Amino acid sequence: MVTTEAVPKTPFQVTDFKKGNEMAAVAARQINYHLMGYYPITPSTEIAEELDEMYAEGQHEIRMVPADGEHGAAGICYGAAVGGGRVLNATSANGLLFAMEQLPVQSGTRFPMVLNVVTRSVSGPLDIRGDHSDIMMALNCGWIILLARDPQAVYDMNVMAVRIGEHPEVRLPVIVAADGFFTSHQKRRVRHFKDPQVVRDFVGQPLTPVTALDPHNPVTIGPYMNDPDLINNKYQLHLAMEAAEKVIPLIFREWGSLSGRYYLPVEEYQMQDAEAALFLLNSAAETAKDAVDRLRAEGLPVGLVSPNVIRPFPAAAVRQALRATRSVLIADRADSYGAHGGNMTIEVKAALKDDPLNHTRCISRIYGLGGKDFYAEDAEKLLRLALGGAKPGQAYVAFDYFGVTPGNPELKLSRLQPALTKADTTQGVVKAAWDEKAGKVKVSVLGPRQLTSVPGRIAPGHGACPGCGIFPSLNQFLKGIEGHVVLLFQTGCGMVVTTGYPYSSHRVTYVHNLFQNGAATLSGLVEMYREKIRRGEYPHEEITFIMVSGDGGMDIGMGSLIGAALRGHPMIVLEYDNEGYMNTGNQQSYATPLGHATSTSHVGPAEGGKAFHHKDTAQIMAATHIPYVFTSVEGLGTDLVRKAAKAQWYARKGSFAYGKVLSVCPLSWRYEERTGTRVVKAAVDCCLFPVYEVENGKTTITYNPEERNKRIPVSEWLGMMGKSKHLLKPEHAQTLRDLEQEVERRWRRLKAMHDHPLL
Amino acid sequence: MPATKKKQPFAAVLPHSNELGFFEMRFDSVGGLGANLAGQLLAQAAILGQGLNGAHFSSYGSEKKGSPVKSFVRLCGPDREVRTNSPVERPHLLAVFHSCLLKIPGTCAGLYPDSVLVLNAPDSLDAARERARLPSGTLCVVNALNIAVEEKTRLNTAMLGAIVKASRFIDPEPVRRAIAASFEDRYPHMVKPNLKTFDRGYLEAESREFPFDGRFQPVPFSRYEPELGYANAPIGGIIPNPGNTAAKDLSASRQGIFPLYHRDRCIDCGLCSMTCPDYVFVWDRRVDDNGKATQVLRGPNLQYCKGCLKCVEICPVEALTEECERPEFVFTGDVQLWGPPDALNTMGREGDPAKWEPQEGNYWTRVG
Repeated sequence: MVTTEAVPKTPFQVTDFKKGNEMAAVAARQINYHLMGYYPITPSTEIAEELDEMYAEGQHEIRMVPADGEHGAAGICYGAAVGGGRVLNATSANGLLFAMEQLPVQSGTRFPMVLNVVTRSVSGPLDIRGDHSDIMMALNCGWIILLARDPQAVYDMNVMAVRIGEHPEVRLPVIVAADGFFTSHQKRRVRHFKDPQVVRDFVGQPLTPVTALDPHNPVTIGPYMNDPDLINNKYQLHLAMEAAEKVIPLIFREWGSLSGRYYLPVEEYQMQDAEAALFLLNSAAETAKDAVDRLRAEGLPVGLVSPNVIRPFPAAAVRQALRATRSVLIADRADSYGAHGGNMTIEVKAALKDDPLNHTRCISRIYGLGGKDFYAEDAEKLLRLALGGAKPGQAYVAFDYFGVTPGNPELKLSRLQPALTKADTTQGVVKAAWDEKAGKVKVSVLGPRQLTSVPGRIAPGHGACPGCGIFPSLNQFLKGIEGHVVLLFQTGCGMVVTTGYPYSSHRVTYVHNLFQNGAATLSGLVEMYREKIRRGEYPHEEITFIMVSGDGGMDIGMGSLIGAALRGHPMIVLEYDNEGYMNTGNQQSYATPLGHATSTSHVGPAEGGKAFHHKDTAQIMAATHIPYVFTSVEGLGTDLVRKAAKAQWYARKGSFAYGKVLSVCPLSWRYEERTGTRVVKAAVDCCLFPVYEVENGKTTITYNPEERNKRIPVSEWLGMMGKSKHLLKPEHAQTLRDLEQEVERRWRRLKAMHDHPLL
Repeated sequence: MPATKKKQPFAAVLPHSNELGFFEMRFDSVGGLGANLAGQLLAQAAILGQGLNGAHFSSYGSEKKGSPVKSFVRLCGPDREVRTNSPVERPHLLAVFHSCLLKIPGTCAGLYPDSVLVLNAPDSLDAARERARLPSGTLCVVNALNIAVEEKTRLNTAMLGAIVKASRFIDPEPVRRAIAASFEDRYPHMVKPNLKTFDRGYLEAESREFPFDGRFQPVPFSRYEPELGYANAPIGGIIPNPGNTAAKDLSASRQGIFPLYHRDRCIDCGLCSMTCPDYVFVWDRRVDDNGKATQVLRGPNLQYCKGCLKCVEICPVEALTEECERPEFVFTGDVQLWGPPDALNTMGREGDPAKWEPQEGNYWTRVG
């Protein structure tokens, strides 16, 4: 729902109610970038989601490329940029850090693009909320960094970023940074041009002095360049930044005359006679204006300085703003640990030092880390601190944290539950032994009733959604594992819902690492365990090491996983495949089947759900020639328990084992929670998810729906879920046929492998 | 259609505002009830349809469906700038989407003496006031769950109807248009039932002003401060208390239904335990007639049950049945696995001041 109003002399703008992420998407749609390469990470994900939804509706032509990780996304964007078109990306926090290696490549070879950084706290511990610890890491990458303090600025900066970066004297990539959640997820009254052509005219045709797509003018992009040449390349980059300092105000002004919204590199608020000032970035600066007003009403001479650009750092304008201020409090939403101030403190101090007449006292505070809310009262306290610093001779603390809490000294830490003993978890419910004749491990498992005697290694009280498929699978799997266990969870739903501080559902030792690196991390832990045993530093107590990951972690963490498998560390990897990035809100993963609807594979006139087939991770892992690979689901009796016991048998023998379970997600698959077991069994019975094991290279289908007379058409399973039932409609007939054929091809191939020990 | 026949009854004027000029609203809910969407629609309607200015956002974390969430709406005059980004702590209107949230201390804290409390509950106004411990102000009660069940919709649109009515300044027409617009693209068949749900919420909501009578004392808002801070938190963010989520009470995640256990029908097959995502089933080790150790199901610990009913679906003998939540069921059906209360609260921050009683067999039952 949108209302419109006329604005004199400028093109028509729509008044709308949108959040920052939506405004980034509106700007991108109007610009009509050639390509967006992206990877989901909270809180920036919505930008790609919005754009994908608009794409499905035919509202733009941006080619949306879902990457295998942020590093991959940055690579996709770089490749697209050397092709001489307009390119967009969006990321946050560790996603930015994971991509960071690519950032100087992009700026050093001088290919403009736009990256929305929706700022968020960098792990670890993992925190999804907003601070500036990510964007501060990007200061030295050679990218222009524009700040967007509210949803309106997100739109405006995104449009201007294209012009600034592509300016012939600049030719640099540009980051637009907005505060995660505070700006990205807050709906505000905003305005944008009704006719996208206004924006397209403003940004004009892309200038492409260099392109990798002109066979008549071959160029070498990215040579091998040592001394004495590289310093000159970097000097050119420096000159481009200097040029940007001149270009940015011009573009800001041009946009102002078109839109009526004027920006300056540095915004001053009530600074005309301010004796004390606050220096803040983005949303907190807006909040602080209310505090400035309040203190001004008391007659106190306070003001606010807040940049809209931090690369190039507008040093001259900052000097000008603070030339007569007695004291400035620079509040950083990220620390540069050990530097006696955050990065903005250091830069403001450096800027002022260049003015020999400046005597402004600089006070520095770190605030709002991990998204801790910033209230006008907080700004008021900081302003009063600055005022104190403005008094000559008054003592002040130059650098400190603001808003930390000591905790309750009365609190006694005690364990809620005793540690599980080896005896607790060795109840004799599973028995695994090598069967020489069969050339396989044989496992016997007691029934579900007896399995309840094994205490859960994961306690109740976790925060998963009702009907979550992860936890029955984990429970069944861990019933099959005896003795001590160390768990490592890669980032994902399973991790987030079991370890919300200060709670943990894990009754055994648990480690988290980000999902591109869990397998490497666990392999390091395993080797430390073995080395300590070898050196006699550790009583030889047996531990089984298990990594748990979602299917998303099998995309971004594939390299790490394959590496660990090839090295063959004694550990088990269990993948819960819920066919998407459910933790970040149901984006497609490579495991999402063809045609399925997710928040980045919408269904509409111009798009028909996921564009390519589901990843066959079990076969990829089988190709590493580890001795045991299995697939299973909850609801096949004790199949998963049996396979867990087998995996442990191999791990105990010093081998790597991998298993994949299909795990339902009622929220994103859209079916009634109670029917979860039926839904997952239907996926098996339609052969989309075959249940089998590959043991020492020999494939055995352990549950064959055909032999049991239970085979159903794929369409029957698809019809059970909101995410896929559109595939039964005539307009999606071709997609359904493609999916059926692929399922059948993979199933037949598997049967052939089952029949022939050499396959 | 309620109260929209007059031509221009709703000017862009706020009945109350704080020192920054905002009328502030907070919707307290649990994930899945649609409070976030309700807040968005309301703010959108008031801003684009009624000419006010304002903002909407929600509390965000990695909470999943069933976890407590808050949705914030700020409204101000058309010419005032919105600059604040912090959560609403002193709402002029508080809407509680799930009455179990009233158990969480602080839900009603920070209300002004004349604030409006909108509550989704089947209670009478007097009973609801007791439940909410409301010192004074306007109380508005609507049985939104019931309306949603009858209309086969979600209760958020019924709550919106009640909220709009209770606000006494928000024009229902733009809200209805916003509701229709939110459904018409993807779920056109849901437009009518949702508008009906909204209208019923509007019409069926009952409200009364309670003057301050000293029966309940106002509770000032206090910001949450963690028990563990820089002086006492273990270094590196580790949690040295394995499995302490067992101290949590997740009953509020259920949306009105739960599995009732019938011991007399149970064959102790263990399938419920195999399928349960929330590990609610408590088993006892017994010695059977032949002197062999065996497992006997004591029942579900409903403290952790989120009401997915997978166990009801899988139970071969109907020893678990789907029931509507009623207090007497919850308490008789509850089986407490871990205790005692002091240990439970050691690292707790969700201060449900539950009372516990030790039972035979070294477990504790929550009472009262």
